[in-house]
Amino acid sequence: MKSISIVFVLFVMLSMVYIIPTVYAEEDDDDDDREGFGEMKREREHQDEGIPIGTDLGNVILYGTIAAIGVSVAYTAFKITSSKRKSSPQS
Amino acid sequence: MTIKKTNPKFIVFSILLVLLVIPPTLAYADDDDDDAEDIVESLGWVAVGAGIAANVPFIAMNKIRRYALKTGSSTMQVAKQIRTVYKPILNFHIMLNSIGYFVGMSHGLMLSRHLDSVSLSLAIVMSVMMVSGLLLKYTSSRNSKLFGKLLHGQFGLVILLASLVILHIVVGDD
Repeated sequence: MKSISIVFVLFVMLSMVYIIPTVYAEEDDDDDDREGFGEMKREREHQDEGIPIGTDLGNVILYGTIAAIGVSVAYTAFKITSSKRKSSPQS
Repeated sequence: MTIKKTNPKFIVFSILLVLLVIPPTLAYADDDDDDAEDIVESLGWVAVGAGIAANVPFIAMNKIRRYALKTGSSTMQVAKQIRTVYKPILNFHIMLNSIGYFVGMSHGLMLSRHLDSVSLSLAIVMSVMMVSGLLLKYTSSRNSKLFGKLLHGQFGLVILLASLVILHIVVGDD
């Protein structure tokens, strides 16, 4: 019963935390639309991105990382299986 | 009914509730408010700081212990002394890395509009390291423990993580 009441209080608090900033954010968006800066701002943000996903360099970094992780996992699995083979008695 | 008895369900439910905090903060961070973006950026620095504080002493301690064991009887006393403080330093390593991981992920989620390849790669590598650490800590099976130990201590992955962090800082500053 105690845990349920704690969860309920947490839920109420977090709901309040959720609602209040969203209202503020919506108000600010309205201001931007009124002034006509919304699209310009979005364009500027897209230009600010460092190495966007989909570009050549971006793909190299992303796929390189995924490949490196794959190689590490495969190497680890290989090491485990090879050590198990060594330790198991020969028939 | 105590909290201790319903521990796993309670923890999962609490985590789900805490996740509700992220959407409003996203709204703040993607906003044009410079103060909010500064706060989210400083979350990234907190993650970097936590990572350095958690890993540098731990790696240094392990290296010194191995060196002491290798060199023989004269340095064996050092290895024994290090062994006594191993557990607290390991707990410190786990605690700070967990904080760094969640702070870093929050930073990434809050700035998800600016998502680029380096950030995504960094998030993937951090998650792999975290999962292998959890495997190492919480599994009882011998094979999965060994798998976690080997994967978590991969030098290549550590180098990859460090270089992605540096690249992320450099690209983020531009």
